Amino acid sequence: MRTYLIKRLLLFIPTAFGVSIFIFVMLHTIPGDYATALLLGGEPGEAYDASSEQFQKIREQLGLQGSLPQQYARWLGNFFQGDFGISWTNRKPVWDRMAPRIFLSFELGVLAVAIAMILGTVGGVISAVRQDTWVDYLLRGSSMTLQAMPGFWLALMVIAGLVAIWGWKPPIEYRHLWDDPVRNLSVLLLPAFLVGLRSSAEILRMTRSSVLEVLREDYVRTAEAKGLYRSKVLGQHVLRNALLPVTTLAGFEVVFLMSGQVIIEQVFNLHGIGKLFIQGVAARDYPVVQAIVMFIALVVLLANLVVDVMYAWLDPRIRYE
Amino acid sequence: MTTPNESTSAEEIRQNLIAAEPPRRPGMGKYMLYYFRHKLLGTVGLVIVIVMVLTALLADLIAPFAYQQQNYEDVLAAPNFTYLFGTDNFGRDIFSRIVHGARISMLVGFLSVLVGTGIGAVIGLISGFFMGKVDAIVQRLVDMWMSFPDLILALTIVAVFGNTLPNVILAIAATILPRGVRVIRSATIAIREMDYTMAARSIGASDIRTMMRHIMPNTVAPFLIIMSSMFGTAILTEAGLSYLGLGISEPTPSWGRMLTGQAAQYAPRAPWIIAFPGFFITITVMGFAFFGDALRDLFDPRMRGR
Repeated sequence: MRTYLIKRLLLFIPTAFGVSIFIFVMLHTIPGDYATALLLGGEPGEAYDASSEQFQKIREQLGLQGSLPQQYARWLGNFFQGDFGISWTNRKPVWDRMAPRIFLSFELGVLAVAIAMILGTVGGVISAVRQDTWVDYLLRGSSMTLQAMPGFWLALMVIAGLVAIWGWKPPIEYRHLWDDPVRNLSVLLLPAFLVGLRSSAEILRMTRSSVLEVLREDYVRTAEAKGLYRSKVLGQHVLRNALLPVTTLAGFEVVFLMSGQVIIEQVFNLHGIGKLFIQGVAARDYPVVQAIVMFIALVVLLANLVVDVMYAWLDPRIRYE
Repeated sequence: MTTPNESTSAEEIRQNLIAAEPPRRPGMGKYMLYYFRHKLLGTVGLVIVIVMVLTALLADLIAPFAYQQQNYEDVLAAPNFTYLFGTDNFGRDIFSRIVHGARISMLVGFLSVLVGTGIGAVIGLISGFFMGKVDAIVQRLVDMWMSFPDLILALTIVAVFGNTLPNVILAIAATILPRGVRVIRSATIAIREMDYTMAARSIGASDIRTMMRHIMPNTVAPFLIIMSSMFGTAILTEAGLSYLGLGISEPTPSWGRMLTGQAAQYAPRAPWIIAFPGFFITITVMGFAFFGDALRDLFDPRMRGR
């Protein structure tokens, strides 16, 4: 287990660096010195005096002085010290804008993953056990439909339905989980459910095929032949083996779910990281965009690391490979 | 008593072989018939795909109104015979707007999938063919690439380059590219081990020739499959970008943008404003997914006849 852990960690570090270079390069391919022009109040491409003192000062503030590798090194060094740069829209540190939003997005994400895993695995097992019955068709049909639906449309329709039928009012006021758990969940549960529901479709498909595969194994037939109850065969022989590969999906799910979460924060007007990201993109506030993309990529890589380690812990075959 | 072997000379066998009818490959019509009969969902998918493509091409003929025409006396009209899908808060005909919106979805979907899977396929082909160091580096890069959620990657690219039509297409293509690499790479690795590849190499075919003449033609099937299944993803990403107001900034309506802004406020009173555009996104994505699944089944001999 230890060698596996070390190997996996050694893979994580270069990947994280690679990702950071990737992001840095991507955000520095901005055509022209857009940033500076923007700050001086001119249009991009407009002539400005590059030697003026004011110009140099602004470049310095933006961290644009020096060669690209120097800029990269400075950015990364600052990033790991918690200095994410200065937002161009309101000239506040990016971190100060991000910090109060992280918990909300984190909670929403955790809730959504949990809901997706529960719905997906339970649905998948039922669908497999009742293969080719109407239950199976219904579950598969609805999961296929869910995958084809834009998540935000589903959310818009559900909100419109709730408002039209029950006169429901979307709760506006958000409270921190520790201050007022009931109010907090009343705000976050519906969006988390909707994101989770849509992501559960893929898990359902995987679980179903995994369970069907295990059901055909010899040891399952043996267990049945020796007269074990169906429930016991399922619980002890089938599920244990079938659900293992599904855990690896959780890593992919985190990636997939984040796209949905960014949009759902917009639909429900939740002030999370995703909403800040969209504001940053719309205003072309590069330090904000850069910091959030890096942050999200790190979260994804960490989630994948955790999933891999968990998988190795659950399944000895992986560690000895 | 003579066995057939003894009585037939090598020359006779040759003559028989020449005289025999060459085995006929089943024609296109037969394939189609097989497809329609055995792939019900695939046929439904194909019909949806064709209808959507035709709608996009013939939008001007199909739409009864101009997409920007505001009919002030019929604001928020429920679906009726004049306005098939009702009107929005400006009195614009939703049916006409959806018909025109098909253009953006089809155009962006087709081009981004073509660019994304096309470049991905070339990289995958090279990576799978040469293996070794090249492959290891490409695979690490693909892993990194895939650690960005689709929408986040597309939004970042749009943020850097601006939301014009070519940039949106490139942004969506970038989200598809790594998947193209993966699929074509694994296909290439499988084909590389085939006897005919070995045969080609043993008679001295160069790397380029082996790749172009022997491997590439055999990756057409997985290429088509990934194209049709990525089409839906591309449409969904485009809709997401448009909904966020960061899609194509042109006067032409797009399905995603029809759902944004005030549409949500009017939705409880006039659900048709949001119901129809979303429905069309869903049905189109489904159509491409069904079609892609059917293609995969057809090309995979293990699945044939099931």
